[in-house]
Amino acid sequence: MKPPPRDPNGKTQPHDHDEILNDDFVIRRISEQQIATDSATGQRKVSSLAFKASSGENESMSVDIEKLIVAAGLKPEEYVTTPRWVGSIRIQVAPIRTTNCSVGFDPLPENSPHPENPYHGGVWGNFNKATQRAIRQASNWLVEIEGVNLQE
Amino acid sequence: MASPSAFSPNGTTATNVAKLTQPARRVNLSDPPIIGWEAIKSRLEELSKLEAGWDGYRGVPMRFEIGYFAAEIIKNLCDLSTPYMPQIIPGSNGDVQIEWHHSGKSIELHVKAPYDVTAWRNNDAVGEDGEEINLTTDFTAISKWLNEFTGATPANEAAAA
Repeated sequence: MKPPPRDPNGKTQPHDHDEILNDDFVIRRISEQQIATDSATGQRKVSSLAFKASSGENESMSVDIEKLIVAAGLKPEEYVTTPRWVGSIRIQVAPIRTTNCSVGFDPLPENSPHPENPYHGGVWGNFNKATQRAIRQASNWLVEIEGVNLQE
Repeated sequence: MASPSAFSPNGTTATNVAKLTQPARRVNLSDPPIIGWEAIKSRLEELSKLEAGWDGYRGVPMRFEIGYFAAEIIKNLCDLSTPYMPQIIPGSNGDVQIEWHHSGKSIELHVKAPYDVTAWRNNDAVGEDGEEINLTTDFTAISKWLNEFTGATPANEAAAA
């Protein structure tokens, strides 16, 4: 996959990568830390914060690009749970782009204590409630966190 | 009256904390008379010590100044009559979201930085897209939201059962 655009400091710039197709899937890792509970029903659900970009200028919502993992001969559900076990969801790219978000490629080199992630991507856009809901609705568990609702 | 106790992230020093209006020293928060405050304090301590990469990507622990500001928000919004204490969810960049969820209704305060908060709520009146406002220092609107949100207190619900 061709490299993403970067600024003079090497930081990946928001972009919509033309080699990430609408029929492709991205994976979003979900930590137990991102689970909230309804105080009336006890129902656990994924917080809306998990469907937003990191705070800060030009920050993205991190994802893994599934077809790159598969092309490397790896199993996606194993790759995204190593070295740290987290849950994960699988989202088709088309619904993400329908919300006017862009889906790009953002490979990460090793940076201790973090291993490299050559399959890392990013979603950039306006993560208002409608966008967050659309991404959530387009998601399905890849590695499920038991007892946690993905949908609202 | 609970005795004062300290909230300070492990390993944080004055040289690596973004300087705002806080003094460059360990800050003791006196415990407010709020039921559930110990749990809030404990959660903030936990988030300040999250491991690098806690989110499976490059997530960092909660930033000290954000945790301090979030604690102040909660202390000023909640009192002995608040039946539901919020939950605190970490963001990847050291930010947090303070959340209340009850019977499908929600209030969420995304603390991106001190004095930089996006607040959102939904209910039957405003619909599923809800209403969103940006806040810096004045949280009067959120106080009103909470009063409306917690109108059904556990005592009222028990009486209605």
